[in-house]
Amino acid sequence: MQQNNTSHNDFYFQWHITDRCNLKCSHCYQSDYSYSSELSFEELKSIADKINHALTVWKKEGRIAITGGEPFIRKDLFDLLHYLEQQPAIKKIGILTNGTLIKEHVNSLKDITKIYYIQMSLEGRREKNDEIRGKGVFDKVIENTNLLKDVEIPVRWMVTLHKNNMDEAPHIIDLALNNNVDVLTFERLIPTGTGKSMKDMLLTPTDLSKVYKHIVERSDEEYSKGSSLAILKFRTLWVLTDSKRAEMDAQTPLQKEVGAACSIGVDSLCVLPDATVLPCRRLPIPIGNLKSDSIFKIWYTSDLLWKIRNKKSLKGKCNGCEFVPRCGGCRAMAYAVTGDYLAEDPQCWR
Amino acid sequence: MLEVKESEILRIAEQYVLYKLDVNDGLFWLFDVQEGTCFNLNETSFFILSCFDGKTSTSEILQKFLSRYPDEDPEKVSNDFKEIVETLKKRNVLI
Repeated sequence: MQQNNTSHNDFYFQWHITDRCNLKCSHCYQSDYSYSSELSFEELKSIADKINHALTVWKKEGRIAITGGEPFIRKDLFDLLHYLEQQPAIKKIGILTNGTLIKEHVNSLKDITKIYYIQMSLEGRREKNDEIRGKGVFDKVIENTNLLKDVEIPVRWMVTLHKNNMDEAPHIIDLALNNNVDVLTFERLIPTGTGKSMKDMLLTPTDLSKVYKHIVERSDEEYSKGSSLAILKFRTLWVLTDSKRAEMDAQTPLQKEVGAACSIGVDSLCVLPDATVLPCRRLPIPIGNLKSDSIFKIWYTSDLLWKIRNKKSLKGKCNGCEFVPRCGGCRAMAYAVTGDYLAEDPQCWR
Repeated sequence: MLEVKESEILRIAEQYVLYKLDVNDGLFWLFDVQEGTCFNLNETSFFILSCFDGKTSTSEILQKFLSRYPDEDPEKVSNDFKEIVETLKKRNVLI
């Protein structure tokens, strides 16, 4: 028998430590914001140990994003961050936050040496953003972005694109440049959770194509000017904006790359506040629970993960598509729209 | 000396899970869900392991195995089988 190690160098865990949130954004993938499912700190440590153990066995470098709900609501957040810092296989820690509760914690964040970014969500200029996320949120995100930058903590902004804010994309890029944001990502609305009611706000394939192409053009333009802003396009469908870039190699600058295959079943897992494991936060099909299952059992025995890993099981346009290595469509989007996570990506414009 | 008892009924230990992926000619794995390791198998090993269901005797499985190689020397095939089973027993994959 030949022992096999997986080939990717790192592994990503998105760990939702609470469902509580001080905001109620209209597109949120959550529909429950209660406290009831949260784990105790001892239970959180146990899960951190499992994650560290799995990464160690697999010889992977762990990237872990702590999020919620709103992670800064948990009073033991920094206890957890300090505990994660001690785990040798966890190399990088990110925090995904709505950006409204950071101010008093900026100096404490400086002390967490493994933090490699704080990601805040932004949906547009002040009026549009606050329409979606709540009054006053825009100003807090801008303020806290600048506070973090002042202490040299990298900042990412994430935008969730839909019909209501697609015209904001160029302005968000301008805002990111003006506020020295390090990384900007544009995600597609997945109509799940509270966002389920926004199915009619999904961009049409044509509109998505236009927005994505504009973003790629802007990204190239800013890169050519020497801007340090990286507009990440490592998600499904981006490769369709410029298929020639599918041939790019490891030397290609981050800002020029487009497209990436879905990481479900490859190098990522999502953990919810009650330790339920999902293939991806936006694909709400449980595949195990870390209170009772080992990561290994989930990773190796989940039928869902195996079906998604086998690209021959993809349906419709995704089946046999030449861009599967850099795309494969979004399984969460397929599931949210059709009920079948193997269906073609409904926003593909090929 | 080979220790395989043909009347024995064996099964795969609970910490191991077999998996076959139907791509190309098939990919075969044995996962240790306790230790987190995985082993590439060839089709022969996969076939043998998949027969040990905790109900079928080793001799019955050997007969199934022999029937896959009608043109081969039965003694060689039997010895190959017993060697594989013995290895799996020693590693506590088969119990």
